[in-house]
Amino acid sequence: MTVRAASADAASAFEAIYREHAERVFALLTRLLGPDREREDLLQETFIRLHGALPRFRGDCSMTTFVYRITTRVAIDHMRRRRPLAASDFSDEVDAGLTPAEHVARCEQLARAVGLLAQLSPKHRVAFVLREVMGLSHEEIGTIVEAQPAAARMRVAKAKRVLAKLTAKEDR
Amino acid sequence: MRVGDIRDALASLDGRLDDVRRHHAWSRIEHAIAEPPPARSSARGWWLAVATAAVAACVLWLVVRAASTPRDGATTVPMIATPGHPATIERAGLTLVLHGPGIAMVRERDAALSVVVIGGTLVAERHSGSRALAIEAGGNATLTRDARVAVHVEPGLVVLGAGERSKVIVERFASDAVGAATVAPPAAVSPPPDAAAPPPTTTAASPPPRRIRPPARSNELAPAVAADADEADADEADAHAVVDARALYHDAEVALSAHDRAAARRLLEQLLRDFPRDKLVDAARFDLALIANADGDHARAGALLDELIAGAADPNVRDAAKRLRAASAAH
Repeated sequence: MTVRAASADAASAFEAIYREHAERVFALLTRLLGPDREREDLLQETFIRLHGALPRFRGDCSMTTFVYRITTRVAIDHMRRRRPLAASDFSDEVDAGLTPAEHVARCEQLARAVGLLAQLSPKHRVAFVLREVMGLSHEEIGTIVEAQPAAARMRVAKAKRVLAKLTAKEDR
Repeated sequence: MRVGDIRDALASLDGRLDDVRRHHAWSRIEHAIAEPPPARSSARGWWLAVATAAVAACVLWLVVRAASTPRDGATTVPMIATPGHPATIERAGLTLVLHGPGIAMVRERDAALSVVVIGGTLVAERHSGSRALAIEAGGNATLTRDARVAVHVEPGLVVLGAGERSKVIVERFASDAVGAATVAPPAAVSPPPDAAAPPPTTTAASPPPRRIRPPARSNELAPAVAADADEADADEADAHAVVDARALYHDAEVALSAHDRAAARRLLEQLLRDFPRDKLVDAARFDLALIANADGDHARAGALLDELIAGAADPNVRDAAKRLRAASAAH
């Protein structure tokens, strides 16, 4: 998908961008924020911001990277204002085939994981998710968060160190 | 819990976006990028415009009055209303209430009233013995003998209604008359989509309106003299129809947002049943097809899409239905 197509037929080109990236954006929001009920609103906000930002897109990165950049900004803004998720918020995420006890345990495990992640600063959280969960390279992460690859590498490393300390503290 | 466990837990979260949610998100995005409402700044701008016009009107009136006496004996009175503080005038057997923000100029001559509505929502009630009321708004003029008339004027929109329609106008636009829960914001209104456009490719907005237009024809004052009884009944039925079809579609959207496809399906089917000629039927039919697909009922989805392909008003809707039909046929 090229943005040149967007200038020729803006509406249908933007719709094509949406169709291509909506799933990815939603998945990234889920990994960053957990099963937050506002994900759909955040999805809309991401593409509305993307629409406004497209005229400034210079083609210096892929459209996916550009979309991820905006997604992470939207997610970070949301992280700063929302309440932490409770275990009950994860009920829909858990396989219906589990026993009630397993269901509760799984909800709590997911809530713990997302809760620990939430204790990282937004930029370290984003770096951790993009690297460890989405599998992106440090170069790609750097482009998304507009930092050097080395800085992205350091953020991932720091996120892992902090999470290791938090989990050790919890397990004691 | 180890760092790897955190990673695995995050990776296991369901980040899938089903067709219905994808479509509805796109509807809202399309609507927002088509006409982004600068809410705060437009309200501020509107206030500034009203305040400036009010001051100018008052100054002009004072100057003209001081400079000359009307040769024809007419008197002119300005009405200026702010939100929560309507202006009221009783003259010549008529009670005029202006809900703000708004300005109107009321002229009385020989026991006959004429009013120019510059902005706001004016409600006029006739009492026995009063003469016809001349209303001018948005460059159009009309003469009315209806017992109750309402006219709303804002940038880009003029609506007028008599009888039951006047109540709808007041409910929609006059926040201080009804209360916040029933009020539509004064800015940013548009009618239900002229071509219902559920699929992403269409350019007409499909979601239920943040913008609304009451039953009266837009930018056109309804012919007012001695409203015909049948026409009044039809208008009342029309007002009822527009509000309910729109409300059903809106409630269906709310249900879908809460992932309650069953409730959404019921509401959309009711819309098709009760308002078969409403402009939202194509959107409702398309949404029902998406819901049927999500529920695994591909036969039902196909039947709905075939109806759209055969008869949707908007060619973009027909194209989208064909594409979705092709995708459904794969199952």
